[in-house]
Amino acid sequence: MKFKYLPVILIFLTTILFSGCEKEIDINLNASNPKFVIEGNISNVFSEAKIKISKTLNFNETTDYPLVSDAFVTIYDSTMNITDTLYESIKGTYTKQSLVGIEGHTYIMSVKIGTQTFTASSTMPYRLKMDTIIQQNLAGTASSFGPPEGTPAAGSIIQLLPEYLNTTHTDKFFQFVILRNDSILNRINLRSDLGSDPTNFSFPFPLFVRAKKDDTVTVDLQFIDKNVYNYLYGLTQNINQFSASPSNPTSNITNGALGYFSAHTSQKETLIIK
Amino acid sequence: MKFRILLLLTLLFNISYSLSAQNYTVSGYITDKNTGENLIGAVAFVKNSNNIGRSTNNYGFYSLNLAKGTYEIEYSYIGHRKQTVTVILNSNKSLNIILDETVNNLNEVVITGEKANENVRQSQMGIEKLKVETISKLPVIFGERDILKIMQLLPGVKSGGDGQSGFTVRGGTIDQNLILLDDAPVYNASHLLGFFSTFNSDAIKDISLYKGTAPAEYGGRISSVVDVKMNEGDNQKFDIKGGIGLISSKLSVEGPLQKGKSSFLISGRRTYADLFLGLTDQFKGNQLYFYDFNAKLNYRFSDKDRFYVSGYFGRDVLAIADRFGINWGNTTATARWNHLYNSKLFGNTSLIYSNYDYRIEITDSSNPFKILSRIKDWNLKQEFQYFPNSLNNWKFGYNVIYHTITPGQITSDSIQADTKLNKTGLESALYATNDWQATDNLKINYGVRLSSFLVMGGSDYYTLDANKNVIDTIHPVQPMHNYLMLEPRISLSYTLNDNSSLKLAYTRNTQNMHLITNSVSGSPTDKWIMNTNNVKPEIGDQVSLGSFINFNDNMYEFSAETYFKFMQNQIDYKDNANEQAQIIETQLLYGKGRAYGLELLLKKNKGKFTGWVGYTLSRSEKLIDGINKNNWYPARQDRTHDISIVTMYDISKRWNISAVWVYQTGNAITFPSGKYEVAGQTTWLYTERNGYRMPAYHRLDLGATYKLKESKKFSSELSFSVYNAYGRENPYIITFEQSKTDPNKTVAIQTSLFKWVPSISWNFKF
Repeated sequence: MKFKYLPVILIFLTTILFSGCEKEIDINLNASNPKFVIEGNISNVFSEAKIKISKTLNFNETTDYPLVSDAFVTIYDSTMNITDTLYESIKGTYTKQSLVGIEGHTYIMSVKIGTQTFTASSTMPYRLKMDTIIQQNLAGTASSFGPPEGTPAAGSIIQLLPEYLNTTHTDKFFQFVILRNDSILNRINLRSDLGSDPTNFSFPFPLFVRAKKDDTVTVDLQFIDKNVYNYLYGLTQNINQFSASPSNPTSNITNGALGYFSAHTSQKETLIIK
Repeated sequence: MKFRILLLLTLLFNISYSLSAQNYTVSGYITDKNTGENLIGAVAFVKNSNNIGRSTNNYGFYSLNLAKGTYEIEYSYIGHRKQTVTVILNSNKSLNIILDETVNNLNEVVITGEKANENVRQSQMGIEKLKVETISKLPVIFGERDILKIMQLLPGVKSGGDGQSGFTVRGGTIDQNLILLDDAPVYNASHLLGFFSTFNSDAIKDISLYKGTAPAEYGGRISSVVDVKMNEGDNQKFDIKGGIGLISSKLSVEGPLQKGKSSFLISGRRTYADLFLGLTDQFKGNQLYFYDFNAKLNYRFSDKDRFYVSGYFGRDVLAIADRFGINWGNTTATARWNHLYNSKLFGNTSLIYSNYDYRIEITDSSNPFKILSRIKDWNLKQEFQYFPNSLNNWKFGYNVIYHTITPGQITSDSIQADTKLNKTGLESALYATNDWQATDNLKINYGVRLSSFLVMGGSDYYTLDANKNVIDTIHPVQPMHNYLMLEPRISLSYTLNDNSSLKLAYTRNTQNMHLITNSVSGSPTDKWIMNTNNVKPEIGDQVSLGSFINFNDNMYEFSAETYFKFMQNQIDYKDNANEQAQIIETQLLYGKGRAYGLELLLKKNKGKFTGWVGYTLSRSEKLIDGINKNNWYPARQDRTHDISIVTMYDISKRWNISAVWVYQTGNAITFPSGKYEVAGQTTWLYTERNGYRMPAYHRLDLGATYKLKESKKFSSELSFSVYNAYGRENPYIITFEQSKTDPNKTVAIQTSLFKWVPSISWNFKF
């Protein structure tokens, strides 16, 4: 994984050596028929059941994605045999605050837009619980690692070391969402390397954040199902344009919609930088 | 199976043998007077006969079998004075010929290596030959006249990218080219991320390119064979030659060990751009350079036995101060023994070692470690060449290669190398081929190659389900698979008259080693893999048809060739593949490929003004389940048009100038057709694989050479050149991103590399 950036470094160095140049160019990209983009989430936390529906744009259009109103949105808990309807709370976003998911249950999302119906299924994984997060200050910039030094100034790198409680039953795929002063810093930070024996699990998965003293940092540990993991992995490849064969990541939603539906766990731990 | 083929071969030999019972043989070596080098492709032609002639083999040996009588045999080689010898043939005769260079060849620069109408007469098609001395007037690129880059100016050969020595042939991929240096496969023929090739032109004698139509003695790749022969070293006198340029310098020394009997050659190069980098604070301690060495020794024990040892060692180094470093390179070694059993049977035994590896060193962590990836071959080749009579020229033999691939072996102070990671395979082949003058007008080259690949085992193999998930892991304890393939090849040449011919060929090639890469030109860290239970041998079938015409007393050569190629078990990445996946097979899909095209070439061989115009119209497509909604899609290296114009002009004895212009349609590539937002970020909407094209590529290079001094004792020249003279910003990569000036816009950003690159170098010889 470490050498993912190697070709980029190689190209970078060559570019310096041989006086390369970059410029914006006009490229004639085909117009495509607008497609629906559905982003559905349900977690084990109050008020996180949320489904956002938007549409695609052509490449040259202004980035103001059209939101889709008047859809009929339900989430069905197939383990308990209960259906909940979500209502449009702000334009294009459908929610139901009281809908809280349960680990191990399979949820089926259904979205009706006009005559088209899109469905997706996701099973909420079992989670590993975070106990505490330890703060370690690293001096300087991201590229020079040194011993901890005094109080962090603006722009310092801080290493967060989550510690976990042993559990008997967890799944393998998870991601960290990190918020600094309530704004999301990195949206996709995927891990799948929990190891073969999660009950005997002690590796901390260090996280790095740029923060200063008195900043509030929240770490949200989310266990996700394998299809969602694969989707998000593909999405990061696409956003960073890493793949040799770029393509839309495989969605768990039927009928040709883009996006994903994820029943995931959520555990937020907050600390104030010292 | 093997037995039946042997039986067939024996039968064929017996037939040709019985035809030649009353004849005698005249045979020997043809060498250069000044250097004692064996001349490859020199021609021995029987003057008072109808088309009886033969060119020397790769070791300068010829053999003519003729009926009892008196003959006038004319010996000729490009840039050398012809020699005619009268032979009274009443017994087998050994006749070694020494040809002298023509003193002033200024007005007869010839850019082909063969006899004037050899292109028309030979049975092979889809073949290009380059002699190092014949390309010495072309513009230099980054101070070097690079053979692989000059090859890219010929029709059917496409450059892998701006300034790249990587190339593709007739719609294939770069790994489908077999590049041989004195018979040793070179797995990565490029230096400095592709901007230099591994071939130092001072150490190279001759290069032949077969565009998928190679005779049966070659095998293992489905697109092409590039056969590079190193100089043997001057066995008459000591020579030192070299060049000093802006980016690199080189030096070669050659000479006799025992005059006329044995000789040596040592040649080395190094770039020094990093020395300048080191002067700036920003890049202090960073390294980026390469060096390489070629060496060869040869010894003539007797007229019947010759022994050669040759080797190549090259290394590229790239390091970022105190963080990490990567270095990569090839090592090859060849030991070869030529033996003349009798005037009709020539044998060659080669033991070959070939190694390509790259090492990554992480130095900035508290526990520094190294990662080694390597492909290593031990290779035994035995070939016999049999000249039963003047109408047949047989070659037969076998080849056994033992491959070992080490994929990313980690070592450090605390971690021992784990050799269990290695994978091994045994590739073997048995072949026979004959070049047969069937009638005065019809020449047929036919042959067959029986090849096998044994998957020996080593580290884990995997059973995958339809979605490419691993469902079972296999730890092989004995060889687990054998792939057996029969490769028939035939090539017909029908001569219409002295100056024109029609040719038709069918060739099957198979390939057991595959390069998994994400670019057209390749990168040093690409993975070589062997056949496994999932990866099957690639098979290429090619049919080609060509017409060859020379006019104005062979001053002009014109050829038109068309080909259709059908390929099986082609490999491509699945949609949104992760190239860094631990088990690369989970990211691959397999299917069919087809490529077809038309290649036109017009050459002017003589006069003050020489050069050629080449044009290729072609297509290369793939059909793979799971890609592009199971429809045919263009391969990455697909380009519709390729034009190259190469001109050289001798102004005076001292000055000559040259110009090269190329135009290429852009490669096929996947671009987004729209955008959408997910997880709070803009991402791209894709609709098809390789459905777009990079912008067209074109470039003009100019060169001039000024001879400072030219004499037998010392000669030197200055070469000036400009690469990309009109500063075309050719696209290297195009990326898509949010505009830096307006966050509501998305833009395409093009990175170009070489706007115009001047270079100057001083070459000398004494």
